Amino acid sequence: MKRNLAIEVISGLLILLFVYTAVSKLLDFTTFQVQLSKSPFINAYANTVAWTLPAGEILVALALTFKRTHLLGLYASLFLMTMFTAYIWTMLHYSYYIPCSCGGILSKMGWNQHLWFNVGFVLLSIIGIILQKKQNLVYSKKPEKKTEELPPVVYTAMS
Amino acid sequence: MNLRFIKKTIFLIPIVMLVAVGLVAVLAWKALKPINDKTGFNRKLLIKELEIMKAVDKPQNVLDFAGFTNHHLYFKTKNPAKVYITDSDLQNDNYIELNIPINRKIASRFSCIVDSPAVYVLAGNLPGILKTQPGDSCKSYQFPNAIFTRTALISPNSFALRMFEGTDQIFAKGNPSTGELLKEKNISEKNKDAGISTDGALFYDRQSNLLAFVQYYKNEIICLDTNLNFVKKIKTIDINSRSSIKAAEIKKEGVITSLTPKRLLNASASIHNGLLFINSKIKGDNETKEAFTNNFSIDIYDIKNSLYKGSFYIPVYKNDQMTNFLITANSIVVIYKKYLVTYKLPL
Repeated sequence: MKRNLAIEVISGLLILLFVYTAVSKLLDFTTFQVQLSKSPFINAYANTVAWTLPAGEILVALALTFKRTHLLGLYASLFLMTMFTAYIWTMLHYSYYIPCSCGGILSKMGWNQHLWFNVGFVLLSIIGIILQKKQNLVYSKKPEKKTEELPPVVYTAMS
Repeated sequence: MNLRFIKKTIFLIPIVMLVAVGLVAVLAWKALKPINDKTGFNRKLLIKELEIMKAVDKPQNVLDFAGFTNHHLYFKTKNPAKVYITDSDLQNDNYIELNIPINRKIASRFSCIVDSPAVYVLAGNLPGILKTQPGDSCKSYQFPNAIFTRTALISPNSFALRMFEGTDQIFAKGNPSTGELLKEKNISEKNKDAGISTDGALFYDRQSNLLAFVQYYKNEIICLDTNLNFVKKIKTIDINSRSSIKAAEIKKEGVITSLTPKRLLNASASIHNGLLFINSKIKGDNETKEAFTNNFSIDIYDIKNSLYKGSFYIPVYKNDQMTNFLITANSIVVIYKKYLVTYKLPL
């Protein structure tokens, strides 16, 4: 029960995060595209990333919504959040130019705060994966229904 | 716990994370490769290490230099009505209160120039120039008639400016008390990008009587006389450096902004007695990455004779980064993010 609740909470938070950030980007698409073009690492791919990133976030949010794709969604969340965290860290340590960060409430955060925020969600994704896998393991070990054995057929000679 | 479960989970999580990190690493490597390539020039270091004279904690509200005399240093603060003052040894610090009205537009973009005892607050977004003295009232001039971004004091009441004309920026010279304004004739590049690609820092040198404009994104210095006649362009030593800045208007927001990362070639500068000191962001081929990363390279140019004289390093101080520096008669005053430090001038 507790495990179920924890998985639901983690998934809920991830869905909220991805839907919020995807919608923020799409609502102010031009600004998002311009900000991407200012990144030394993404400049060459800004137009592609501008579309695929919010689309990817929405797909991950959908995957987290349905039980069948839950685990896949958690792995995808881990992938995305690790990528974002690595991007921020690399920008802070190696980039010659740091543009403004992404939209919505997250734009109020500084780059360092954003980094720790992302690390938090990476950890949540990992915990979610472990808990989900454990739960899947438990369900896959449930005992099978016993079928009743019929007594052997006894033939008696008719007198 | 099931061993198979542990193995599968333990290996798959880091694999997913490694792929994600690997993707970012590839993007970063591709982007930074041109910067790490050879640049085709060598830096002539005049001395190994600067001699530190004094270091103090910087008050949080101190932003930039406002001026200096033989005995005092003046600093601009976040408040246009306050100037921070210390003596040349960074001691006996105090604030000068000015009779400047509190105004959002003034505070949004302003520079401060102290030409003792006069203090000028140049409010680029107003646009206007305010002149005052401690204890005196403030004279406000609605001048020039367009937004300006860079200023240099030539003489009392005479300023060189970099101001907007349409969607570009040009050089101008003006006197706020008479309203006289002289504009350049076909000197600045016009790219209809709000002057983003041609941005730089403007200086006036009394000794050579020249205005020097150090471009941030090009490896050249534009020199003008005080009537805004073009004198010459001096190339900086990083002869092969290119930084292509593209800008465009975002029509929806009515804003012109850059569409490419801004790669600075020249970050900051200071001028004194015919010598222009420039903090270059381009590593010379004879410099190690470590030396370049842990120091700020300052290249010295004789602007009268268009000569490169040599370079020195201003070090990173207690892991803190420099934001600007000023050359005075015998010292280098450095503003770091958390400290103010003076070094002996190595000339």
